[in-house]
Amino acid sequence: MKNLMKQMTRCAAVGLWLTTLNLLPPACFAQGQIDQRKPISSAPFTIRAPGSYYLTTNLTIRAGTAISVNTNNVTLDLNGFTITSTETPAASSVGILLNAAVNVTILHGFISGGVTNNGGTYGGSGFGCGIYSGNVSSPANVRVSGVSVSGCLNEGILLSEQNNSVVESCTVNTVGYYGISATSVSDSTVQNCGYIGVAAITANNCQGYGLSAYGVVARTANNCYGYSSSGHGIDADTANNCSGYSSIGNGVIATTASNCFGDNGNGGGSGVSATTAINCVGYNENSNVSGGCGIYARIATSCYSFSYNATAINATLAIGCIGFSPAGTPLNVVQNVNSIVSGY
Amino acid sequence: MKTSRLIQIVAALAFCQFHSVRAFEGRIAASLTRGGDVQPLLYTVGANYLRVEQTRTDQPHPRDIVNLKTGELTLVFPHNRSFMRLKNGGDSGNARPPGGMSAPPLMASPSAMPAPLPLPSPSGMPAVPLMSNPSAMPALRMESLRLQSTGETTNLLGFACVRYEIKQHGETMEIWATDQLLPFPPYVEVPPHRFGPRMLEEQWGGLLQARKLFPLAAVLKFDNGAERWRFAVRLVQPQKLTDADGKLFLPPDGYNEIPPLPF
Repeated sequence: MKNLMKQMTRCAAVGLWLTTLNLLPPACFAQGQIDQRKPISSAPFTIRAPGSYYLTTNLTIRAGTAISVNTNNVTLDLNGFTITSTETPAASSVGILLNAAVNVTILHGFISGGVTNNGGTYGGSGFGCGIYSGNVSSPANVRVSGVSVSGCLNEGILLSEQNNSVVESCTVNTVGYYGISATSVSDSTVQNCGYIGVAAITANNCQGYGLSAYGVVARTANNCYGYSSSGHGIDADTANNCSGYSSIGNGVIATTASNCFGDNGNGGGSGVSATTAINCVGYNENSNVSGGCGIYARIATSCYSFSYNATAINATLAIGCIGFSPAGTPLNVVQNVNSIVSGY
Repeated sequence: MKTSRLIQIVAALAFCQFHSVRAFEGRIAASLTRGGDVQPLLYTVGANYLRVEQTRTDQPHPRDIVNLKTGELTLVFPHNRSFMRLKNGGDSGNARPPGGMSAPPLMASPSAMPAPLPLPSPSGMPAVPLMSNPSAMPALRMESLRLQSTGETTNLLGFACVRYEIKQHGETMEIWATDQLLPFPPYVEVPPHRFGPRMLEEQWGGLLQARKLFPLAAVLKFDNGAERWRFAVRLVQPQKLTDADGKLFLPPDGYNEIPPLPF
């Protein structure tokens, strides 16, 4: 009897620990021993009480919001299931809506619509938005982890940038407007986004594809890649170890760019445009036009730049740089300290 | 008596000038060239609203609707049937400190700078040398961005124009602008970016707008003569606009309003 009591106590302790880590499979909870999580098996569903919730099946809505979080202190585990919208055409339906909720965690699952990108026009059936904070300034301490969103007319994951929201290990694909917006975005990828890929205060290890605006916009961007057609690949105060491409704009535009690679494809902008560029490589690809430059900086230090037909390095002060331009100007600098012109 | 008559004439002329500026209604066709990309632009100017759009049809491009009285800008996105209202008119130029650089302009002390790493050497290219003497770096001051008249005049498309220049380190924008049209609303394709330095071409519109000028031609060149950007008006067509259904200056029916960017 004593041993049994001991075993039960141990089991409860382990269960509590696993519950904390969200590791216990729903089947264990179903036995009713220590299950505090509440199942969600249909949509629309509104969470009105704090606690831990999990999906038990895939959910589909025709319009409106699949899951609304109307209270604080909520953990929502999508549990590997998919929330789908068949709204036709996609307009205002939302996968998960946070109504001024605080301390919310959303985990592990899929939000999927049928919106496609047809030659730059986003349309079809599906969601207006995947995960959305109704009032962008209100949600605080929101974390989204391991969620994949696709096929939305407007936003993938749109949270407040100013109130401690975290998006990690998420993917967003084919959304018409915003990919991911949060205070901190890490280890996440946005593909085929119509406007801005990733917008954050801090972006780490991210990849953003924003067709008409920006790939990655962040106060600090570390180890990021950004792509844009008409805007900028990476737009940051501080860009470290980043790579950016833009057809018309700047590959990387930053106050301080360190160890960055920037590529401007069509000659209108620069590979890297920065107040201070350190150890950067800039490319200005278009061989048919003379506009743009490889690196455009107030101070360029230890940079290498190539521009076929335009200016490789345009700087007020260039220190220890190399400019290479077969048919243009390798260096257009006011003051040169140990910078050299490279030949073939 | 003569003086009084002169004052009346001057006042009348001033009124006509003001009236002509305020009353311009019609269409202006222009083009914006950036590298190998040419944007054909159409300005449709009504009594109270203005619409700016690209006329090329390669893909759906945003269009601007500007309330000329309040300055509110509505960005219309055909690509996902949405629109966004920006109260400050999209921040067309002067929200940040002038000079094109938003960062602290002075060079950080060399010791505060991250140590430079050797660059990978692209194939066939020599390795980049490391910074040899950081103490040789002088402190650089912010350049203030100013629209400076050169005093030269000409006539373009029937409008008296004055030549202006804007200089930023290593490049100069030359502008021929008139005060006989309307304060220039630059085409806003995307809201201004947030963090990095602002390029000269992102600020010129605001400088012209503040002086109630409209450019008929502008070109941006590096000091080595290489051109990297050009704006040119092709046609100015004064006309009374017909807007029978009242939709010329509204987002199309069925478009969803989306919140402005948290910029």
